[in-house]
Amino acid sequence: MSVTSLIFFGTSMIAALIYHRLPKKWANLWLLLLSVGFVATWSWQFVIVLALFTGMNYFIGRKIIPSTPSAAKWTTWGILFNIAFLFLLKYNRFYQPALSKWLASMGWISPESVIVILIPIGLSFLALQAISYLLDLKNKRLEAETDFIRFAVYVLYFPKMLSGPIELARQFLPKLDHPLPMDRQLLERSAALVLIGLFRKVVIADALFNMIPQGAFLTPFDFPGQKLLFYLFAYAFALYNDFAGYTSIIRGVSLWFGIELSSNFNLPYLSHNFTEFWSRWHISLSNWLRDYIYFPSARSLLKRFTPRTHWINLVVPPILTMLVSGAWHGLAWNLLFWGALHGTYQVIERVFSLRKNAVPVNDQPQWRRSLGVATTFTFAILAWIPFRMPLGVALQYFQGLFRWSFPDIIGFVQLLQGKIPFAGWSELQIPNPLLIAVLIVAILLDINQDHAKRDDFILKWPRLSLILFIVVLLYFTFLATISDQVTPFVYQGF
Amino acid sequence: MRNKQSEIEAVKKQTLKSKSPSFFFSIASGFIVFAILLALLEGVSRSKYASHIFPLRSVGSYHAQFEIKWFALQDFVKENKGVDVVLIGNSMVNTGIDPVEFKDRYQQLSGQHLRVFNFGVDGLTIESLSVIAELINTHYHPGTIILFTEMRDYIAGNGSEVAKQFVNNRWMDYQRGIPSLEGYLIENSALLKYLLPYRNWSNSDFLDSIRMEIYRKSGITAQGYEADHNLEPFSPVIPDPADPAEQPKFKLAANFAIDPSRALNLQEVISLNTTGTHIIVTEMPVYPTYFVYFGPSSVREKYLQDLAALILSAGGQFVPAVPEEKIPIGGRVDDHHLNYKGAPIYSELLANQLFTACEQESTCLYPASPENQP
Repeated sequence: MSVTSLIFFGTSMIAALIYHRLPKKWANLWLLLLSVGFVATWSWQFVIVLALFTGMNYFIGRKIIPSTPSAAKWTTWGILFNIAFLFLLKYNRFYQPALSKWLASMGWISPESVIVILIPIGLSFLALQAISYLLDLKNKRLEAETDFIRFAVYVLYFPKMLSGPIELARQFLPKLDHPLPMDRQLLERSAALVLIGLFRKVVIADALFNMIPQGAFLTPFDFPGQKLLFYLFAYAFALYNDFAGYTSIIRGVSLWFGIELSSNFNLPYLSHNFTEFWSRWHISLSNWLRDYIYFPSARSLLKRFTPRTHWINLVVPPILTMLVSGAWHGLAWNLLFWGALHGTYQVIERVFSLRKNAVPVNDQPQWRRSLGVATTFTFAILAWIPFRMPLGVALQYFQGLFRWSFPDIIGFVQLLQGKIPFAGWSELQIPNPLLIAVLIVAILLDINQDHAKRDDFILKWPRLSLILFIVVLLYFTFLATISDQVTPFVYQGF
Repeated sequence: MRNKQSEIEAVKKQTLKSKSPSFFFSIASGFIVFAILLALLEGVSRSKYASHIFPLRSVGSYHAQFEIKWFALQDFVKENKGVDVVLIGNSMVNTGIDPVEFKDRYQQLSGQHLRVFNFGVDGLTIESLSVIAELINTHYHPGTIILFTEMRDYIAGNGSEVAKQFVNNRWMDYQRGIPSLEGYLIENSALLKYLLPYRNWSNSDFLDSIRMEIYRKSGITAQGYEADHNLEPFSPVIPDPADPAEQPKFKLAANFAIDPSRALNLQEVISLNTTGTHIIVTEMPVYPTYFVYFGPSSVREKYLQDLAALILSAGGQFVPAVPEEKIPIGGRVDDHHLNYKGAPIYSELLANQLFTACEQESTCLYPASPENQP
């Protein structure tokens, strides 16, 4: 069930009404049933796999008794279980052909058959959540959850199941006990988040993704540099609005149940540096990586290499953290390179910040702050090139960015005058004006959010603007409904 | 004390503000404004000015030319209070017959005035033409449908992809009696038809494709004829099976035999006879090199025998193609398409042929019955 479908919103609304009327002892069971039902809409097999996943983590969690010799052992087993689970299912392409061959050789399947291993939805997110739970138990940040239903709701809570946010048990579980009161303020905030999310997804992200020709990320040399540049902008904003839109929608829906999920995005392209970028982009993942990879590795290295400015302390933790981030996105060289690139950005930034005359961002003059935003944005979007395509193609894309061809201005004028009716826009080497228009809308939306300093910023809009916003959203949702251009959420694939 | 007072004032203001029906009222207003706008635009779309504002209409198919022809026929019927003869076929028909020349010549010979429309659509085979014939018959009840067929129509799988482009959509489902809200809305809302061409506004090639559609639409006459202005002289060459560019065509035509499901499609078209619509089947006069792909002449001869037998058994009438040598080579674009010089010549020849057929074999063109016309 897509989280942008009417059936999702309708079902969630009715489910929330029931939830608020249920006695407290039944509330969590109801959330669990809803979550299982949500998983089943994708595949009933997922229910079985995720039940096993949840059960195992619950069991291991119960075995972790802090300050006992077995705690470390069970934690290690738990982490290995989650990593193995993730690898076996998500990266089945590594062993699936061999498995099919073996099963065929045993005569259990026909030689032509291929075993298809379905990857349960949101598995990458669920595995990180489970690992954080086990580590928090070991580090005494949390007590093991004894109520299986409560634990299962933490793992499988349906609004966050597909693509996070990655919630920590110590933050999420108390919210189950004390849901926010359903008042008008909450309803308004939830409606605003849902509407903003839908706008980001339907009007901006889907449109931008569609406007990038398929060949651009396969054979970039077929396109002039100026177009590649705009396709890169389009991809950067599409990816951001897709994921931010998704998060906004499900946070809004979750509020109907009185549960405020963590924020995942906070205008990342307005960051002044990469440290800030990673506190604004996929925040829940960044926090997870910070808490469970960066800090432990930095602490461990600091014990062996002093002083703090030792090059190993400067280089290893950020590079390692970002490599893990790359690997989490997928086991592919381009994603590892993307991670390494971001790690390198952070290392360079840290080296610069160690200079004696380094000035904190807040104390910098406006021009330097703006320069910081421009630099961070430029390097962040350049890093999306290896994120999106294999390294060989990424290199071509990068080279292609410098191969500009002169736009056909005369052709453009003639086209407008209708003198060359058969000439297509694409032949003029001029970026698609519709793409530019959507990019402008995306930027204006972010600027507005930045000024409002809140994620439900449309609540502050004057009535006329809000009416216009709704009309535009309805129009484009309508167009999306009657077209065949519905694009699944990008991070749903992780 | 003053600070406390101002704090209380601020809280009061906040409370008052939060009690105002602003946000949800605005959302509801947005929905209402949208609904009003739709209603207003639906009104505009039903007016005669709509086609000046919005150049294109669509039923949600992915065959732009089919849609252009469909709405051109709709306008034609509105303008002429009906349609008597509809010519259906592929691109050869689209650019090969000018209905004005055809009906003028026929009127000259027979004294009969007919309203003729060319519904030739690129890339279609009998598989999709059978659907089109049924649609046209149901909606417009012409007196006669002339189906232009050719050998490629009967190759299994040929053109099936193109057929899907216009067959697989909600409107077409609705036409076939499969209930769907979307199909119902497309059929009954003028606004939706004007909006549908823009549904893929975010496609990377949208600006190109929409320009092309507008251009093609402007090149199609009110009677559905699209002249081919290609003046590059046609120089016939016998296709070489060793030429890699020709090999796909040879492969397609190899071991030719009429596919049974395609034969069924032909019979479906002819069965429209039972609804009172007269069905005539014929072929376009293609250049002889066109048949080289199919092998020896015996293949073509057998095909013609089988086709005639099929048509006769289904109760239809078959009129053989006009002799190809009557079309000057300067009137051809390639071995099967005619240009704007060849089309009027063939249109007259066809009128002559059908007039003769009417006199000798009672294969006549019948006007639409008045009670079936709008």
